[in-house]
Amino acid sequence: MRPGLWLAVGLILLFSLFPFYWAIVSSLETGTALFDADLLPSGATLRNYGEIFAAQPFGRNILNSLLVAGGTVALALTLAVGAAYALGRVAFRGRGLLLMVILAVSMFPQVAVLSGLFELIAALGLYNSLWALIFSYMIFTLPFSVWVLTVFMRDLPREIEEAAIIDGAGSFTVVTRIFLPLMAPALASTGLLAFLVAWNEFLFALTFTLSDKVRTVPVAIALISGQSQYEIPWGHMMAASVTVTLPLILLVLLFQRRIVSGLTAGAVKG
Amino acid sequence: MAQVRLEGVAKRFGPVSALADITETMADGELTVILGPSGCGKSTLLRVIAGLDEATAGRIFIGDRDVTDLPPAKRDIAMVFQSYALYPHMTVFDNMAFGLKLAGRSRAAVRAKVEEAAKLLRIDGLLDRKPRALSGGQRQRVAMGRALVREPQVFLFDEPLSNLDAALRVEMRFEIAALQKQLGATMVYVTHDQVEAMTLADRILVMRDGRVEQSGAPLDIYRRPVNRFVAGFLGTPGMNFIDGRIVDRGENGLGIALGDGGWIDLPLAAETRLAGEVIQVGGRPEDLMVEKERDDGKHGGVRLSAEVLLVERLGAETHLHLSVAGGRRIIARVGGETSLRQGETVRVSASVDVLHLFDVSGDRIAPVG
Ligand SMILES: Nc1ncnc2c1ncn2[C@@H]1O[C@H](COP(=O)(O)OP(=O)(O)OP(=O)(O)O)[C@@H](O)[C@H]1O
Ligand SMILES: [Mg+2]
Repeated sequence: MRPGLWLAVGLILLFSLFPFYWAIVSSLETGTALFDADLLPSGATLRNYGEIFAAQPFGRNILNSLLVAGGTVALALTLAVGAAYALGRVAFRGRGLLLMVILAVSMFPQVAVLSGLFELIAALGLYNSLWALIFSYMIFTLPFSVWVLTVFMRDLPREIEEAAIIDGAGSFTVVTRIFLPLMAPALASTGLLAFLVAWNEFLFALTFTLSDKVRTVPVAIALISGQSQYEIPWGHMMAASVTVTLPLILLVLLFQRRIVSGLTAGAVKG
Repeated sequence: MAQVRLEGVAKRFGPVSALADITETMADGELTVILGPSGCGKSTLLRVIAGLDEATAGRIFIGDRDVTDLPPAKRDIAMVFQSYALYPHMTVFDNMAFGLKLAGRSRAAVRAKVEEAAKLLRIDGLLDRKPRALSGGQRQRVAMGRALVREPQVFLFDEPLSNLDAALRVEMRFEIAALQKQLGATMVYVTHDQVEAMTLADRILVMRDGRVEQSGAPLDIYRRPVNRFVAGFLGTPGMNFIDGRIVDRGENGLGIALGDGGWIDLPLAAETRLAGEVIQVGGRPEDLMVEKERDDGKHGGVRLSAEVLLVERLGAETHLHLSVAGGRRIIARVGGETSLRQGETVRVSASVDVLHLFDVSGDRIAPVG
């Protein structure tokens, strides 16, 4: 059993981590060395990393991604906390139906809503702006944020809320001073998931932006061009990929314990 | 401080009627205990007074103010919950200060109030701790402290001691009583523990199925329960009940024929109109006297023979489980120890004036004048 288990773990690790390792190796190579199937980089150099920032507005793209992902998280969590309070703590007709509808929203495939969303964004005058992305990313981030937070909020003891009400707290104070601190783990995990989704999203980012100035990282990487149209600049693309992945890994490691406890707290008690 | 007055208060949860037409006054400076079995509406009554649940009908007054339509924070009450409901992420100090800060009191005033209350409750060394680092008894005190600092007109307690172990419960009971006297506070205290009720209360409301069955001083209720339910609910071991029928013996006055050959003489002043009525006779375990059967022809007013099923020796007192003829079981409680043994046949007697008589519907009947 034991050796079998370790073998399985090893295979899974290899399967999931090897592409990333390969990206790191490739990002350190240039020219024809890229096409040698070496496991260790031959003639490692950081030139690719320098070039993506010099030849492209890659710094700007990273900043855009940060703004979009950060804005998405902030907006999604703010809206979701309010919705979760209503759905989790206030009794009203049609609450169950509303929750189902919210869940259903996240089931449409992205392409299905693409053209409709495009019209909407154009009509709102958001086309080719970061707001277009933040706005459209609500489609993915709101449903699960609302769900996770609703379940979490519903399970907070009613008597704590009532004690606060007797102490003179209104709904807003209850949410901000009592519930939010208690929900920190749930907020951290949903926020991080929302961040990841927004950071990695490609299709909407490609469709709703036009100029380099407002492009986010995934699109920028895909559009990195070589000297000629026949050359695909693997080295640059790999360097860019590694650059934008490392912070994510750090972020996940940092919040690791909170994510797990947050997700299970909602799940087990619900 | 102020009294609480309820006028025709009712509460429905959809089709369920949790409170029905309650009209009561909880007097200024008194500790009123709401006592009753689980699900009888005690918590609901407290929550309606607090404003956490809205009354379906009736009016609620605190002092002279009609608070029926006011939110909880404006009613000038404080509540201590069974689960304590402390804010888990705040220190003891912040837990107690939260309400005062929301009310916009100055920092210095808040600090002074909290420290004063903490000293009174002997938690002044714990002000920087979080609730999870406290014992059950300490949490209980913090919950009381949070109520205390608000200096409310009325304190509401919902089974505040039920999460504590037995020894701590006795101690906290004593402290609540002392605090109540010291502050002269009006308190409404919900419990289903009759020892708590008997020891703490100035006045008890006994509830059943959303109604107040009886209210009064603890010993009055104990001595003169208005119906079978109240009689059986107060006291451990509970009151014994035996079926009987009132019989008119003409010259010799009335008596009660107990279903199984026993007999009780009623005083001559008893009302003859009761003759023929089917009743239940209640006797508290401590009011029963148990003796070895002697065939000397003297039985006093009560004649009932029984067999000893079980002798429980508790040291200070002894509980005798008896089977009266007909198989009904009763419990007698005698002081100290007894030489009676299991299997013996004994005679049970009692002084007639401590017995309780209830009619078929369970209401108390007074056979004498
Ligand atoms: N929110 C509610 N919705 C529906 N019914 C309720 C609600 N709250 C209480 N009830 C019902 O009202 C009745 C009284 O409940 P309440 O909680 O006041 O009882 P209690 O006397 O406090 O009991 P316990 O000693 O178990 O705490 C019960 O039948 C209960 O089921
Ligand atoms: Mg209750």
